Amino acid sequence: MKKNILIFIVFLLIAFVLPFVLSVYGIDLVSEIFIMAIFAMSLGLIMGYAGMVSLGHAGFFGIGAYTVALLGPHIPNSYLLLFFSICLSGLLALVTGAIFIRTSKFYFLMITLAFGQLLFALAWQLKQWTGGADGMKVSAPLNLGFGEIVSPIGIYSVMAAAFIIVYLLLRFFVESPVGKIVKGIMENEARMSALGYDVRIYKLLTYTFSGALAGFAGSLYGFYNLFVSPDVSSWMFSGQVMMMVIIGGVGTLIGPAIGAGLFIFLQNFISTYTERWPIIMGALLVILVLVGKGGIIHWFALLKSKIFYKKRKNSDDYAPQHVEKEEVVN
Amino acid sequence: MSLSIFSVQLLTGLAYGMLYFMIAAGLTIILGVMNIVNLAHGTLFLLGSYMAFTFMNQQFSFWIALLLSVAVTAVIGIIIEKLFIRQIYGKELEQVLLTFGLAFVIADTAKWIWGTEPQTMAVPALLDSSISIGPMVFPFYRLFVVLIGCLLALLLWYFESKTRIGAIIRAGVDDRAMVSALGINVGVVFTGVFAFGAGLAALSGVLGGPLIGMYTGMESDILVTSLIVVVIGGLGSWKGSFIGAILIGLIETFGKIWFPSLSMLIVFLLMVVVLIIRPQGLFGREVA
Amino acid sequence: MVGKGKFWSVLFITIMLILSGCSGSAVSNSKSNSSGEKDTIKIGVILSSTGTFAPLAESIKNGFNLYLEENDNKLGGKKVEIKFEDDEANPQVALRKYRQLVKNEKVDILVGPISSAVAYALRDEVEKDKIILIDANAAGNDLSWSKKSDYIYRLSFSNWQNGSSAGEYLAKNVGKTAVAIAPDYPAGKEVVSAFKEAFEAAGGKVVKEIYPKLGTNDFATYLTDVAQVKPELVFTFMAGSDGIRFVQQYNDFGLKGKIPLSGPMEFGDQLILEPTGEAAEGIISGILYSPWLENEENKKFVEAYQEKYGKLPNTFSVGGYDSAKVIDIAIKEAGSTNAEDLIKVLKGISFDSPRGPITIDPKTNNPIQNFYIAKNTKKDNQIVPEVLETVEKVTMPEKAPAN
Repeated sequence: MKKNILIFIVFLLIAFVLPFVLSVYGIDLVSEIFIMAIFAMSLGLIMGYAGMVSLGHAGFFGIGAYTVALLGPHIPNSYLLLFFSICLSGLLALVTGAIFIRTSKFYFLMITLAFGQLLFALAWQLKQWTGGADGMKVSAPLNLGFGEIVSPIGIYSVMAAAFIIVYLLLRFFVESPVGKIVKGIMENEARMSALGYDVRIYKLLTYTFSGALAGFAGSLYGFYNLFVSPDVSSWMFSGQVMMMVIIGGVGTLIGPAIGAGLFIFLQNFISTYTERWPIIMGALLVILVLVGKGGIIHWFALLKSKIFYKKRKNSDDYAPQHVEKEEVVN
Repeated sequence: MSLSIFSVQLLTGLAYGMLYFMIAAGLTIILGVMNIVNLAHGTLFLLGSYMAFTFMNQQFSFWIALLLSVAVTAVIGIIIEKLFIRQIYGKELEQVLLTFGLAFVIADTAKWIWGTEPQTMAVPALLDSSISIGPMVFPFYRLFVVLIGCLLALLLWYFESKTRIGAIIRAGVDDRAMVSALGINVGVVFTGVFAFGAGLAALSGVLGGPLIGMYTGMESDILVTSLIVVVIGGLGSWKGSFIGAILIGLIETFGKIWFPSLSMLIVFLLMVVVLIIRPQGLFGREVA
Repeated sequence: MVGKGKFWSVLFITIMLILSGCSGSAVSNSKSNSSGEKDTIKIGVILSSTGTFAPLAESIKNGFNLYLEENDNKLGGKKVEIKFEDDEANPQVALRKYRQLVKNEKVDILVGPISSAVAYALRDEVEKDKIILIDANAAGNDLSWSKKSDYIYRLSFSNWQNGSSAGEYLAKNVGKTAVAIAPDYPAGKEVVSAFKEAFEAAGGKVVKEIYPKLGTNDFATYLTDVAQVKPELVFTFMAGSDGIRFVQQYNDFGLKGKIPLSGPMEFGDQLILEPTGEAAEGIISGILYSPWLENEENKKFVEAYQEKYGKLPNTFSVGGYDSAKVIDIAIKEAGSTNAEDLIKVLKGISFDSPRGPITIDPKTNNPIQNFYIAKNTKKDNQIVPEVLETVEKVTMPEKAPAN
C-alpha cells in the first residue's frame, strides 16, 4: 500500500512539472491522453476486474460527448452538463448491462459491439439534431465557475485533475469489499455464487460504474475538442481503446492509462513520419504480444524485480502474473 | 411485391448469404477448434480477391486464378499459424492484439502492393449471362455463387460427419484435451484448420470480387459481418454459420424494402434479438 | 529466453518494419533542413490516407507534388517544406493532427481535408489561429454558406455545384421524370437536393428519392424499384467502390440501355471509369474535369502526370494540383505569406486550371468554374467521357436556397 502512495506522489509531481517542460502542443496532447486514459481505465475496470471484454465502450463515450454537444445550448452550466453525461451513460449502462451480462465472453463482445453500432447509427441518422456524419460543434467551452477554460494550461489542469480523481475513485472501488467480490467473481464465478453472492448484481454494478466513467471521459472530450462526430462511438474507436487496455496491462488500474498514453503517442508519432504507419503500428502490436508479458505495466514490475531482487534465485516470484486465465472462449 | 421481384430479392439475398457463409465457415471453425478470434480473417478475404485480380491480369483464367489464390492464401495461413498464432494459444487477449496487429500489417501491405484505387473483377465469360425472371433479369453469376455455397455446405457436412479428420475436428471443438490424449498431433490439426479457414476466406474473396470489388477498408466491413454470422450461428458450428449467413443475407436484402431507415442497423439488431433469445447463438452449445 | 519460433517471427516482423521504413522516407517531400531561412514556407497537408477515402487522398497528394516538382519545389518563390498527415477521415484525429501541424510544426498554410466533417471540425480552429486552409476536396455546402470563413478557400467543388450542373441538360434533353439515388449521408442529401432544384426548375420532376446506406454491397433491391417506377432517367450520386458496384449492377440487372443513367462528376471520373469499363458506357454525367478536355494547361498536365505516375489523372489530382497552384499565385500576388495579406488576394483570384478557367467567388469562397455535360463513349477500347455541352461558370448561390 505504501508503494502505491509513493507511485502516486511521483505521478502527481510529474503531472505538475510536465507543463513547464512541454511545448504548447505537448500540453494539448497530454491533456488528450489524460482523457483517453480515463476512458481506457473505465474499460480496464470491467476487463481486468470483472472479466467483461466489451467492444462497444465507445458508445458510452459518445453518449457523454453528445450530451455536452446537444444539451450545451440549453444548459449553460458545465457542472450540470458533466453530471448529466455521467448519469445518462451510467443509466444506459445499467439498462443495457442488465440484458448483456446474460451472455458471456465472445457473445458479450459481440452484443456490446452491436450496442456501440446502434449509438453510432443514431448519431449518424438523427441529422436534424446531431448534424449526422458532418458532426456538430460544442457551443461553449468548459466553465467551472471561474471563467471559460480555453488556454492549453487551463485545459491541462482540468484533465489532469479529472484523471487523478477518477484514478482515486477506481482505486477506492477496487479495494472496497464490493471490488474484492467482483474480482472474486471473475476468478471463480461458481464459487462466489455458491457462497451466496448474487453474481449478476455485482457484475452489473461494475458495468454501470464503468459506463458512467466512460461517459465522463466522453464529455471531457467534447469540451476538449469542442466538436463531436459519430466517430466517437464507432466500433473502431472501441477497438482502439481495447488495444490500449491490453497494451498497458489488463488487471491493473494504471496499466490501461499507460497503454492509452503509449498508443496515442506512438500512433501520432509514426503516422507523422510515414504513410505506412498501419504496418509499423501493426508490427509493434505483434512484437508486443510475442515478447510482452501481459502488458507494459508488467514490464515495470519485471524491471523492478530484476533490479531490486537480483540476488534472489527465484526471481520468477516477481515476474508478472498473468491475469487472463487459461479459460477458453466458450 | 410481385412474385418475380420477390424471387430476384430472394436470390440476391441468398447470393450474399453464401459469400458470408464461406468466410464465416472458416472463422467459426478456427474459433471452435483453436479458440482464436481471428481478427485478421477479413484481410485474408481481401488478399484472396486481390491476388485473383492480379492473376487474371496476367491472363490466367478466372478458374485458375481462383485455385491459385485459394492455395496461396492457405499457405499464408500456414505461415501465420506457425509463426505467430502458435505462440499464444490459450491467451485470449493476446490473440486479439496479435490478430489485430496482423490485420493492420496485411491490409496495409495490400494497399502498398495494389494501390488505393478501388478495383473490380470481371465475371468469368462462361457465367456472364443473365436469366429473365418476369420483367426483371437476374445475373447468372449470382446463381452460380448460390450453387457453390450450397455445394460447400454439403461438402463440409460430409467432411464433418463422414470422415476421420472431420471426427477429429468435431472432437476438438467439444474437448480439446481429449484429442491430444488420443495421441493425435494437435499442432498439425491446428495448422490445417487455420490454413483451411484462410483458404475459405480467399475463396469467398475471389467469388465476391465481381460482386463487391476491392477497396481500402473493406476488410473491416467484411470482418464485422462475418463475426455476426458466427455469433448468430453459434461458435464452431458450420450448420449455424450456414443458417446464420442466409438469415443475414435475406434480412439485409428484404430489410431494404421493409425497413429502409434501419438499413445501417438491421444486421446488428438481428444479432441482438438472437442473442437475447438464445445467448449461445442458434446452434451453439449451452454455455456452462 | 526467446524460443526458436519467436525468433523467426520477430525477425520477420523486423524485416517488414525495415521495408516499410524505407518507403516511408520518401514521404517528406523536402529534404532540406533549411527551415531557419526566411525564404521557406511550411505547408501542412491533412488528408485521409487510410480508409475508403485513400484513393482521393493519393490523387490529391500526387497532383500537389506534381505542381511542386514542376516549380522546383517552390511556391511563390519560396522554398516549400511540406508535411503530410493522415486524419483517417475522423474529425477527432484531424483535430489532433491540426494541433500538431499548427502548434508544433508552425505551418504557414494548411491544405485541406477530404471529408466535410473534418473541414467543419477545423473551421473554428483555423479562424482562431488565423491560418489559411486551402480546401482541396471537402465539398460540404455549408463551407460556403453558414460556416463560411475568410480563412477557408475551396479549390475543388461544392456538393451544390456537383448536383446541379447536369440538372437542366437532363431535363431538356433526356427525360422529364427521374429517380434520384444517393448514399444516406450529408453529401448524398446535398447533391440530390441540388439536382432536384435544377432539374425541376427546368421542367423535370424527381418522382422518387432513394437513400441506400453508405457502403451498400448490393443495389438489386433499389434497381428493381427503379424498374417498377419506370422513370425516364436515373440520377445517381455514388463515389468510390459504391459507385463501381452501382454501375456494374445497373448493367447486370439489365437496366443499362433501357433507362438512361446519369450522375454528377463521379460517374465520368477515371476512378470509376477505369475499373467498370464497358458497363459505364452511355452514362451522362456533369463533370468538371477529364483528361481529354482540350486546353493547353490540361495537355501539359496530363502528359506530366502520366510520366510521373504512370496513370491518367482524375478530378482529385487536379484539385491537388490547383491547390498548390493557388498558393503559388496568391503568395506571388500578395508578396507575403501572411494570412491577412493572402485573404485579400485569394478573394476573387482567378487562373487557368487543367479543368478550364476558375475564379474563387468572394461571396462563397468557392470556385466559379465550367462543368461539362459528358457522355461515356467507347474510343480506342477505352471509355472516355465525351463532352456534349459546356455549362459555363457554374456559380454557387450566396445563400442556401430556401425550401
